[in-house]
Amino acid sequence: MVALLTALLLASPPGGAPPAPAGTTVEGATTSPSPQLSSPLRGGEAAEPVPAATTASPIAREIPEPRPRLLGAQIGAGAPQGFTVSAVVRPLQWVRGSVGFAHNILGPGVQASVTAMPFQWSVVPTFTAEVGRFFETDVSGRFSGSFFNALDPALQKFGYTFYSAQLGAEFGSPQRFVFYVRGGLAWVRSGLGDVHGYQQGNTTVDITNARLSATLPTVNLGCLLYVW
Amino acid sequence: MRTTSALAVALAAALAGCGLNATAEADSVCVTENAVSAPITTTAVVVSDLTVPLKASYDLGPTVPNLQKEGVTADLHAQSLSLTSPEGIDLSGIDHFAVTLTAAGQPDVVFTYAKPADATTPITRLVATPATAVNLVDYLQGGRTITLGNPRVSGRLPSGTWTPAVRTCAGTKIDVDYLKAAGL
Repeated sequence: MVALLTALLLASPPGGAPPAPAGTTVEGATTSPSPQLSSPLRGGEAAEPVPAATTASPIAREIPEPRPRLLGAQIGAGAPQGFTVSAVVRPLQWVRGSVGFAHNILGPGVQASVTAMPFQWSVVPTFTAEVGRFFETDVSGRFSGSFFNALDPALQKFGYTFYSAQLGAEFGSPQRFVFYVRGGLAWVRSGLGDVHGYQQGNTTVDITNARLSATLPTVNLGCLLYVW
Repeated sequence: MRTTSALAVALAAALAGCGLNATAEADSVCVTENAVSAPITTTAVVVSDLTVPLKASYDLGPTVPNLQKEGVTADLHAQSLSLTSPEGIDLSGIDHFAVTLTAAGQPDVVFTYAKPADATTPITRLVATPATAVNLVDYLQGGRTITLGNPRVSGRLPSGTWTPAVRTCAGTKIDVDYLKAAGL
């Protein structure tokens, strides 16, 4: 294996292109839009031998590589993330971040994520870490009677924080528009706070530092559009 | 490709080890029965191990999941039981009282009170505590009701008409493993 790698390295000079044999046209020159480089082909004249070391590098530099689009917008839906609208930034080809707003039907929140895309295949595997916070909202009317009634006052200030780790796949053009599906685990924490003097008939209930936590499966899908 | 597969396998193993569960906790839940019985009239007589016919039942309600179900781990960690009188009657004559709970037909003394040697009068609240760690789930009847009953009292009873009120506090932690609860 070492011998094979050594042979490959020796066969490929650092410039990448093999030296042009005398009496032939440099491959880059035939495709370059530069008029002075294509001139040897006009009039059927034989091309002058060109030293590869002096021509290959400038030509390669002139071919612009497509710049990855840096900014985008993303929409998604999932649980416990809710519905999200986010701004996306991709500082590197293989990683991007998002920050945005969310709504889980119960109330609004914010969320942020970092997604790694280590491979640029037609279907791109991804790993996403996410964090979000849904602000305190009065959900007592919606869930009254669903839990221990004394918790109703605490449900008037119901919010939660979540973290998730997800594996996913992306389809589409990494330069323009991708659709994604992700799944993983989410960790949800909600501090319900205190209940003081909840009266039910002849009974009074006091609760100190009530809190909920859960480890949940999470599924998330959405799409994003790179705009610039 | 091999790297991706290895990463996926590692993540799957890590996630599988986390389990799927939900936990509800509170540092303390205190339930006060403001009038365990109708007002009673007692005279200042000295009693020894007198059983008082009082009972307080706490119904957790139908919306609380069955705490004894497979996949549900519940800890209702007994913290204290207080006996008070809304009328502010002086209870300082009571030297000792004990409250029993019944598990599988067997009554256990769970909460005990002993008057501190340096207690000053008046005392309007007697706080009994468990001598050892007690999980009140062990005393659930019908999966949802806890009944405290028949306190035994020693000392001098208060003089007057008063309404006993009982406040029971417990730390709570209820954990539900979805997969086990679903029988998987």
